[in-house]
Amino acid sequence: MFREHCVTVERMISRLVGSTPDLEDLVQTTFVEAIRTINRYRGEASFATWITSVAVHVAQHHLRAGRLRRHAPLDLVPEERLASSTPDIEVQLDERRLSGRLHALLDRIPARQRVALLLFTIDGRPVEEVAALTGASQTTTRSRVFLARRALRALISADPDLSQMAESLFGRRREGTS
Amino acid sequence: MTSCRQMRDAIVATVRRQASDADRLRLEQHLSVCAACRAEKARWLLMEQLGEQAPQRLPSDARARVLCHLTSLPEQEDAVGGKARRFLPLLLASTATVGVAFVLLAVRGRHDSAIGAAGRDDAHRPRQMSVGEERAITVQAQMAGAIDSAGAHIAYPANASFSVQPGGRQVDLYAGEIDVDVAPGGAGRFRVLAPHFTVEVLGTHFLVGLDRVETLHGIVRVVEPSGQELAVVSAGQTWRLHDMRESSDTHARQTRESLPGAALAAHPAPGCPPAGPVVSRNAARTRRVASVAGADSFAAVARPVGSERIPASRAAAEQAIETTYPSADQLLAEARTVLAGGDTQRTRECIAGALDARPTTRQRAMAELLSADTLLVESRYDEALAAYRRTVNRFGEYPEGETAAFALAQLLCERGPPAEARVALDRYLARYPTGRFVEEAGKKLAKTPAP
Repeated sequence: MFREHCVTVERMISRLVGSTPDLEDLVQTTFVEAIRTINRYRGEASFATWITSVAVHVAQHHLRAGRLRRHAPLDLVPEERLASSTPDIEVQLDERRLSGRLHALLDRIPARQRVALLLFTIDGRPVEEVAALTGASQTTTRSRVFLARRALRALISADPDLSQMAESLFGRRREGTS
Repeated sequence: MTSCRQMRDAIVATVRRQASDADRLRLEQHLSVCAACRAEKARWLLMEQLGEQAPQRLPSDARARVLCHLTSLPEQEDAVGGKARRFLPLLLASTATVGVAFVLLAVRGRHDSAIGAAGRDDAHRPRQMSVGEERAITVQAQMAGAIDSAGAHIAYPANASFSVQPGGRQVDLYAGEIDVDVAPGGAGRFRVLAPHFTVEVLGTHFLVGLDRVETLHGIVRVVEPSGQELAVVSAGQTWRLHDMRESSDTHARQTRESLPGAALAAHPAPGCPPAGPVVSRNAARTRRVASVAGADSFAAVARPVGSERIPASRAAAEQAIETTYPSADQLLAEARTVLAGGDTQRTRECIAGALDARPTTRQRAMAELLSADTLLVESRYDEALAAYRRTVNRFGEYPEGETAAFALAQLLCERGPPAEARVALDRYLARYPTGRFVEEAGKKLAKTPAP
């Protein structure tokens, strides 16, 4: 089970929580919870979906507990990024700064709203799936996504630097691809 | 005039690089006059940025650690224990009907407990059985008692459960705690097999529970079922399985790693790969032995894996070291004192010693703050800033976290860009509105120029 679903769990937690040295603990907690509650798996959905929902709950709980640590140790930085030979180091650095600041903003949004927003917007999952993963109704999920969007928009508006950084990065990327 | 609603699709298309030039131009015109849509576009850009970010991955050794933890889950043991408890009445009833056991009990006349014949279901605990012995005595003690077996006197309290091969030098412990007094000079080692470890002795007096070993006299060796040594426990010492597991605690590990120059061996859970930086077993072994030989008061008492016999002088030396083993609190207090005197090297040694002395979370917080202070004393400002940040992030709810938050802000005021200093002061005031340094932070904030 661990070998088969480890990547899925890592990906999901990393997506929801962001870069954190707690990733190992969170992955471990997810599997411990999965083993503990395996009796509740009734086979209605695929096992991957079920364990993803466990990961979502673990991440959500972690976010709600407010025990976030943002300094990823070096061994948790993806190797492909460290070994990247992309010439534009500045862009990479800006990306990192930007994502750090963005996660700091996301930390200010309630955990449930944040999780719903990320699953819906970033992962591109339909509302029904987000609702199933978070154990909420579809109406609640829509409401959470809406509230999270509104909160994030307000936070971004209050931080003009961030918009400028995003614009500038986007512009440079567009130049790079064209 | 284009409405904002119409522009939302253009924003998404632009961010996803799917918009035509005409649409982009129209959007640019609209954005120049609409702040709400500018924020909306920024939000989309940032979300796209998040989506494009490569997800964080665990390195293979971290995965191995997780897997190792999962394979030795206490929940699994509980499940087994739960089943055992469920079937305990049945088990007791069946054992009560075995007449042979009662005959044995009557003949030996030494047991206050129910004795069953061999054949207890040990499917989940494969154990060595003494060659030539056909029956094991299984004790499910309802009241305290004692038996003698092969030169060992085994005393047990009520509720203890174990089995012993008559004449054999091996006891299988299932529940409770037993007091074993082994006379020296017996043939081979005397072994007590607990579910997660085995205790081996030559001649000594010790107590064994399911999760601990206490040596009353002499010295005992605790090994994993696989044979790997876990600890050597001298007289007066207690070894706990829980401590072994706790030693893989993430915070302690990372604090240890973060200490510059701290040469500490990681204590992996039984059978697990070491956490943090990979330290070769030989290197760790050498370091431990060296620390014992050098009578380093901070060294954990351990001897090299694989040593077969323990000379009396060595045991005495280890015992002497253990007797003077300072607590984490003492070491942290010493660290503070020596840091005040400017001896950063000695401070680090004290902090490292404290982290090796099974510190509580609060003590880890103190250690982390002290290590940050040490860097500050050494004028390593960038590292000190990072260390303070780490302390705030890990131990923000403790007084040390608050101190670190203010120290960080103060350091930024003195050496960092004013904007960052303001942010740090703001954060301190927001997080600790009734904190110890609120007044000072407020003054500093007023003095720090706005960007």
